[in-house]
Amino acid sequence: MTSNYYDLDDILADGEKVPSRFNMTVPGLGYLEGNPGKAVQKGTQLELPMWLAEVLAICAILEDSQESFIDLSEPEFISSRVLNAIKTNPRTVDLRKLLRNYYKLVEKWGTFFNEPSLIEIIMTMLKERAFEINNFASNTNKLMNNDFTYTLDEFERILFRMTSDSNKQMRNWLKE
Amino acid sequence: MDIDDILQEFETATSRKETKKTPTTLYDELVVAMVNERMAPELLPFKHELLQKVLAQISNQQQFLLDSHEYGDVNAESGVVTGDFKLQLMIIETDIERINYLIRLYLRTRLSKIDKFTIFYINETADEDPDSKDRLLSSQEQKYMHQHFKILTRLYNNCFLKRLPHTLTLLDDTSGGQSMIVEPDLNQPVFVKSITDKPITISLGEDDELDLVNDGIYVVKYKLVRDYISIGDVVMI
Amino acid sequence: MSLPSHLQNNLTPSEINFMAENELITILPRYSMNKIELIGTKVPALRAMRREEIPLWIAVVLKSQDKCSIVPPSWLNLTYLKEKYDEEIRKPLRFSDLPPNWLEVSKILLAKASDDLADPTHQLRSILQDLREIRLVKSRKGLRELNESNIQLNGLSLLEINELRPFVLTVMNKLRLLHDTIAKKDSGDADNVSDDEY
Repeated sequence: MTSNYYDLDDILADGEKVPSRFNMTVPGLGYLEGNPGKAVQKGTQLELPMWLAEVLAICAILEDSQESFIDLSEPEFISSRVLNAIKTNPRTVDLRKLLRNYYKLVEKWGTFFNEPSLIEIIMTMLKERAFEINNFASNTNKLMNNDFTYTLDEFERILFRMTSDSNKQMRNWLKE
Repeated sequence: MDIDDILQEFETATSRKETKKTPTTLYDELVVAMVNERMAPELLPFKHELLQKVLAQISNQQQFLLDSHEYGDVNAESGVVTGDFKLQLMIIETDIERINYLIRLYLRTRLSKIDKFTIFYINETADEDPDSKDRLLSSQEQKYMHQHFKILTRLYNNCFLKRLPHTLTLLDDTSGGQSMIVEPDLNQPVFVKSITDKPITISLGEDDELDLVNDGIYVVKYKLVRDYISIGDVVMI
Repeated sequence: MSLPSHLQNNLTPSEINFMAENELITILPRYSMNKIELIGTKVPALRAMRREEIPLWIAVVLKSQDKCSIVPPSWLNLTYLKEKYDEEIRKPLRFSDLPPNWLEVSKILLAKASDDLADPTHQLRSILQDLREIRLVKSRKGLRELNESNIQLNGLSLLEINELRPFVLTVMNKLRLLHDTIAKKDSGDADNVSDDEY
């Protein structure tokens, strides 16, 4: 995955929280769950930002142990409930509400866990939704009062804007 | 869509005759260079020879215009200077303007990539022989790139880097799985057109292949056609 | 900024129009004129009433001064365009074979040399508009077929491609990024492995 160091959406996506479970007791980390000065107990469930969870989930506690500091549990945005909704009708899912940078997070998750079936569902969804986005972006009078355009994640919004800008440019040139 | 069918069907179509290949002019070469540069995710090798030729021609034409205007002034009263003569000068001027515009588009596109990938290209060109004829950047671009970087780092330093611990002031750190150096992404898809008679077979990986046939338009990963673009069998569109 | 972001990896319709202005076109000069050596091309010596091929932009200059008439390209007439339109309808899965810059050239000629065209301009405009629309609808339908690897779009002109470009490339790039997260482990495809893997 090529990521651009200065890409703001990438940075924002890294800040999204994912559910994690501590595999050991860590002294002094209690402020993460609102207990400053205390330890985080082994087995505690906490939501950690992606950038931190990522590192803690791959770093082994001891050099020869298999166990890492935390285990990641399945986050809401790829829960079976959400994936079922996506499979049923990709166009009615409110991605924006789930995650501001939905596709970015899936990319990160996929890079991490290598999940072909998840990626396949998301790619199918992207094709469907992109097709719909193109329809809306090309059809100026359909734009008003449409709920679909409010459910777009950040990537989809950019796609929508680029597509309608391109169409607009062409229309303007033809009118010149 | 079966591409062979389409080609066969179009072979006899009238417009084919209309778009017959004319000998390549400097203008055509400039257009190809400009469009390739615009569409490629990375900086392409600077067209040293082409630019040299075109710039020499521009100054020739400008000299011709100067001489002609002088001639026109001297002979204005005698009625030797016709409207046609003026019209011809106007066409020559417009031609210069048009070429100028293309060069500007070409250079601006290059500058924008140099801005975007400054550190990457500073590293890339570090070991180049300064006298070599096929340097990636022109000498003016080289200069621009280093100046640009100097100004940028000075700005960063004054604004915030000088207040950070030394270990956090790097701009080209690549450790920890995250590279600070922004690089062109050669896997980006691009639109290309094959312009050679011999079919080009590119490998898509995993035993999958794609044949690019003459005049066919494709979207493929830039990296897969990069070499064909550099030899001119494929152009970006 | 050296190049605004909407111009990166993209062209504007007016830039494409500029490129089309160098297309050669046949003229019928009204007067003689000496040849002109240009940087981009050459203009041969012109003799009255002898056909010659010259770049479109020069033809437009000469035309504006009443020094020539422009011979319309063989495709710019109602009969031919209607035929193409019927073909577009008959064959819903492919694009009829129009010249690569049909939109630009027809627009320029309709604006600058309408009196040289064989058919009434409003009829030409209307059939050109119909053609553009039916092809647009077709190409949009084709966009369902996007994938992470490659597509073919034969028969579309540069201007038509350019209109679709931001959409097509952005979607395909995203599909590619998603797909790459699964491709790397088993395929051994070294290309997909990048430095910032964890």
